[in-house]
Amino acid sequence: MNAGMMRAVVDGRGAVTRRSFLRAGAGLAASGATGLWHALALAQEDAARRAGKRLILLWMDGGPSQYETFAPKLGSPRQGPTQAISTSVPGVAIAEHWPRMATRMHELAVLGSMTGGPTDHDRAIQYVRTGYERNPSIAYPTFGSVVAWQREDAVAELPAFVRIGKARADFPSRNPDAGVLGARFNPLLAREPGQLPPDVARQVPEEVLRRRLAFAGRLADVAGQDSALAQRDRAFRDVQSRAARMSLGREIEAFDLERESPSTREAYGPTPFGQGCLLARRLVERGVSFIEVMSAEGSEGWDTHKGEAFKSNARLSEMVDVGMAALIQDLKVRGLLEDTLVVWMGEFGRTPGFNDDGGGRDHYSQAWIAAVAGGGVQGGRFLGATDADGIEVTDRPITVPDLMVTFCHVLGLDPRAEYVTHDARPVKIAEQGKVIHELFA
Amino acid sequence: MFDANFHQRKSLSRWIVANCGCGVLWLATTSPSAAAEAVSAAPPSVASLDECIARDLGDAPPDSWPQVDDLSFLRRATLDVLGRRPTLEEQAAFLADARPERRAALVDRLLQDPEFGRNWANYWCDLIAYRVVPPAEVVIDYGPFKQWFAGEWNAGRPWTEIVGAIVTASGRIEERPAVTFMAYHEAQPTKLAAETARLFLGKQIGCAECHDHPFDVWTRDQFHQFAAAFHGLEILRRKGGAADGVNPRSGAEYRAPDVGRPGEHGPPLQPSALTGESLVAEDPRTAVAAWLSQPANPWFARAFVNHVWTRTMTRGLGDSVEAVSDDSRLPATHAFLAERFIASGYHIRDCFRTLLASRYYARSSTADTAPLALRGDEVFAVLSGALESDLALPPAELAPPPAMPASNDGLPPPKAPIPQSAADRVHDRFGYDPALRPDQQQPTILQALYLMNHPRLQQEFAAAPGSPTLLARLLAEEADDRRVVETLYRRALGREPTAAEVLVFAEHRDELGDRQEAFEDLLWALVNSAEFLTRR
Repeated sequence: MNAGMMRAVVDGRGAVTRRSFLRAGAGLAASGATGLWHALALAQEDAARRAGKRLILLWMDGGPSQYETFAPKLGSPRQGPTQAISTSVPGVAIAEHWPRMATRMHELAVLGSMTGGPTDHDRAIQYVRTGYERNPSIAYPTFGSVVAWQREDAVAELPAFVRIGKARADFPSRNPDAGVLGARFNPLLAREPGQLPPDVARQVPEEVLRRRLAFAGRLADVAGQDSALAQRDRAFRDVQSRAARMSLGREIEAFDLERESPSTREAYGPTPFGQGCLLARRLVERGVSFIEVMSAEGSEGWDTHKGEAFKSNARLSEMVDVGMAALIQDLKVRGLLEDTLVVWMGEFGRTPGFNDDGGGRDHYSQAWIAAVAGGGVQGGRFLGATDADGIEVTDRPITVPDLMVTFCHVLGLDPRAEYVTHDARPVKIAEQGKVIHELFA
Repeated sequence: MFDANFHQRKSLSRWIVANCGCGVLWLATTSPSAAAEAVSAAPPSVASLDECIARDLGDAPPDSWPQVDDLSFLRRATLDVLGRRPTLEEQAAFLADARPERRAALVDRLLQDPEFGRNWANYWCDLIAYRVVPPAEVVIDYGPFKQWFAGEWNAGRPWTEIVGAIVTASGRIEERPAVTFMAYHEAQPTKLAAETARLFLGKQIGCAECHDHPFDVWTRDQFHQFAAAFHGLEILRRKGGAADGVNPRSGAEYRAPDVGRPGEHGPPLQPSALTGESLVAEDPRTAVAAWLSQPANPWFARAFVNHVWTRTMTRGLGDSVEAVSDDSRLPATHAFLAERFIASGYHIRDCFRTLLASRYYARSSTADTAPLALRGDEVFAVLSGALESDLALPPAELAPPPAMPASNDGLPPPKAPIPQSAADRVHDRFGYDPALRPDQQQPTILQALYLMNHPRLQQEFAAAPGSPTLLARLLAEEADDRRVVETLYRRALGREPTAAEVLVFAEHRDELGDRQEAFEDLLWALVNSAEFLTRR
């Protein structure tokens, strides 16, 4: 393990770039060093490996009911009409509308004692996605943007952060972006899985676009600009060539779902969420670091207050059950699950009490759940506990900051790393929170 | 020097600079009251601005500074005042004007154009909007604010009155657009204090919210005493929760959070200005407005002239418009301009006229320049000007309005947003926070993608005979290739092509063997360039 190889792995900011990780990985393994250097090499390899890990966030917009998903309370008066079914993990039952995930429960770890957070959508979305309570002075970046900032690779064709699908509403406050980190780290939006993101598709034949780019370059070369404009020109040509790589290169084929077999597409389900999961798998194969897939069918999404809430939950659950199970299965078969953390959650849970016969539940953050698979997590377990009715956490409370720090742990990021706001105020990726070690034991 | 307080020292140094020759300081025994009188004397003449600059820069005398040609001057002034490039007609008219005073006349004409107010309303609105954390459940619409602001600016309202209206506004946005600033910051006293200082005083005090500022003079107490002046505002909301206005509520006490005991608050604080004066009043915001408008306010005038200087002179007087140090890069110049601004009664047009009449403004670019990226609204203006198109989509192709939640927790659904116009879409892509330093205003991949591939935009480059595009018309009307090249450069970049550029095009045309395709490539290349997006 020599210094030259170490330098190749780490870029100017100390972050391991994706490309360099893939190049250097083989070298590290093959170096055959011994003793102290061996231990160091292993640690480096571990760090490099972590730095190549990805996260897919399956976002249940509106706040999914824990009772109607992974934490039904059998026999409780709060159970509601949803029945429970047994799973591949002895003694663990989940809601009846999740048969496929039931067969995969040995791969899923449920964080059953989430607690805390606001109970109105805007503030809760802000809190859960950024790790910080809403503050009118600071536009905190969403976690995906933080990952993009840490992982930004000047050479990669695809951006590090992609958001697939649409949330229930397009308010900026419900779709947190890069905030103070700057527009550079905003997600690439793939609102319709199967379609290219906006402005990526060429409007002219490939040779015409190449010809134009070359011609523009020749014009710029002779423009004889003063040095100040020359600097802007260089910066523009740099982003222009990256944009051209997206348009003309092969990585953009990731968005073309027709390259998948019909049986694969069917396995994920003919829904925007399902096809979004398929797109997410294709993107992790190409090294995208952080992907959000929105489950927000209609404008109600998981925010099932009233009406025929139990029927809505059944419908939503089926869509997500099919897509999520297909995704985990597919990642596993392709050897990607170990390096991809799949996270399932929404902005809060729903109340133990339900409204009328329709079964609507309101917002609830005293006791709610999230779930994770892959990324080195030990599946088949249910962390923490709530009382028999699911009203409050009785054991091992888990907070949103704990989640943030755990995500950092999986991805090889330092949660105390800082960025700086416009008025020179330093902000840590995560101020508080502890790694949820039980996930990896 | 005799024992003078903060204001007295400031008044004195201003008087010295204004009356005793730039950059020359000598001990004076004049009393502060005489200094105050001297301030209100007739403002110094324009020639002094160039002399101030020359002295500050340690440069050759202004008469020796090489000046740009007429076309470049027209382009710069039109961009700076109106936020767009000059039309072909405007170019021809100006070049045909033989009067010695044609540049001053041009500036006067531009300053009277209604686009002047609209352009600078966009600037100030961007400054505000990029620091608004998106308020909950509201479709942010700055339209009424921009319209009001442009009207006041064009009407020649003094800057003190415009800022005063913003700082003291009450009521709902619909009736009182100036209240937008208060409402979108959700009437948070700490945010309002920090933003008022940043925008109108060029002082970043935000750090002092939690602790004494690490490298500037502000203490935590000073910050919170200033914030106390913005306390006690009641937010008016629409049904559904969207912030829509504010009303003052008298008698509310402001307590800063207690640093030692989280969750608790300290003793009640009396509102006071950053220079120590009391701001106690029935509505302390009126006292804030009065404090900002005092000629003795050390920062208000300096901040404004710095905003205008930074956008027009290619390199600011300091690092940033939002952190104006008391030691300017060009100290005598800065003081001169601030003094003149105050003496003129905070006359906005006079400030612009003074700057644009200087030889420094018309100076050929030097290594000292840091060209600015055009703002979002300016990019739309130059796109539609170059292509003679409003880039509007036919109704059938308009994207559906964004989704709004049907179940809004029992409340009526929020107001549906206005469908995005082409100008809005361009602003989304190209807009940036004008307070950023030039090295922070970098082009993005999404911008490059837009110019390269955006379907509606690409339609404008097509020149097949019969296309409804400007290029098709040009090619049909003008057989001389060289003339077409010049027209395209004039429209897109506001300048003539160089001989080398004409040659590169001619080679390209010969290689392609197709006139139409060659010109389509040229227009595409002109738009897909750094120069197109840069104020120069």
